[in-house]
Amino acid sequence: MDLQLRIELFILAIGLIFLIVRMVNKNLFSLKKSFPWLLLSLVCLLMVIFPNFINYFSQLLSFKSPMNFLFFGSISFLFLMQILNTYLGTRRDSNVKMLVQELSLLKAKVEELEKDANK
Amino acid sequence: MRVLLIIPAYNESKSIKKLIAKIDNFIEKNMLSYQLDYVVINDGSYDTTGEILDKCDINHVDLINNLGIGGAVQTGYIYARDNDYDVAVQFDGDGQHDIESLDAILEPILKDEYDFVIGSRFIDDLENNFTSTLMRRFGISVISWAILLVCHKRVYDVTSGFRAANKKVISYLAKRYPISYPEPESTAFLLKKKVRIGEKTVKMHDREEGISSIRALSPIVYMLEVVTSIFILGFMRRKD
Repeated sequence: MDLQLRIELFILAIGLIFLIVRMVNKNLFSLKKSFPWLLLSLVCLLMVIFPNFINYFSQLLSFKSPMNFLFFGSISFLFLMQILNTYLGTRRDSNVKMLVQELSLLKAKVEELEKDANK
Repeated sequence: MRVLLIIPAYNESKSIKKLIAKIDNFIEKNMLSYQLDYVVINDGSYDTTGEILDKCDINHVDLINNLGIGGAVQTGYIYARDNDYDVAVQFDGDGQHDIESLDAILEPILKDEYDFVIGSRFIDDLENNFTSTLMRRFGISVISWAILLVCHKRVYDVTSGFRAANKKVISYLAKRYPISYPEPESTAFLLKKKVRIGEKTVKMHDREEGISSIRALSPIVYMLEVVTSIFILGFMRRKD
């Protein structure tokens, strides 16, 4: 990897870390769920500091070029994040559904009690 | 002065009645200079905890879904804020904390020496023979070091759930309480908010099992995650 690319990647990785840290501290990002992104930026930093790292792995896994390996790695990471998010989204939906149901039943109970009190 | 005990409970059907009895006994026996109430936060227990609380007419809130210790304790702080309590004290529902040590952490708040007092097992080795696994004690000291680095204050018992908060801290924690690693994170958060934090010796009983609400893949991963979260909090600005 040539120097310019390494500098650009370094800036992106630092930028990502900065973004995650700010979002978490402002309570906009869940801390636990930000760990994959922090790990990603750490890996990027490692790639910048040890560029032969990628060459070694791409050859090991018989990729034609290191760039192919990087693309494949990034896409795989995004796939996995999407699968995780599908799971989290489903869990969230069922929680919301339960809240709606419980709240509605509570509301019905309150209205009934008010009716009885007014009698 | 109105003081509220926040008692998070998750599947404590075996011990909750005994715990409440101890507290009632404590209130009766002592001439307290403050009004002491308690609320049990039933964190979606699937055993008979809920039924026991209803049957014995114990003041409680049933969470319709399990939120974990962070969510349950925060519910307690919201309750304290909404009911205008002056002081809120976190008190574990598993019987680990000793009610007789309440004054140790309450007094500094009532005297306005501190805004938040942590009941500690580790600052005075003489009074406590609290044993813990080496791994746990190592983990706690690493987290303690991380907090020292980030907030410039030495806190010895970073995972203690026996803590007292005054009105200002109640309003902070009711609005923002961590889900993942509640005790160390909230301590670091409060230090970042420039809250006066004190640490006093209390008596605690040994736990039968190893780790309580810490559902970690391994203690090492847990420790790494907590330390990372504290470092992230290190960059928090006061107005966050």
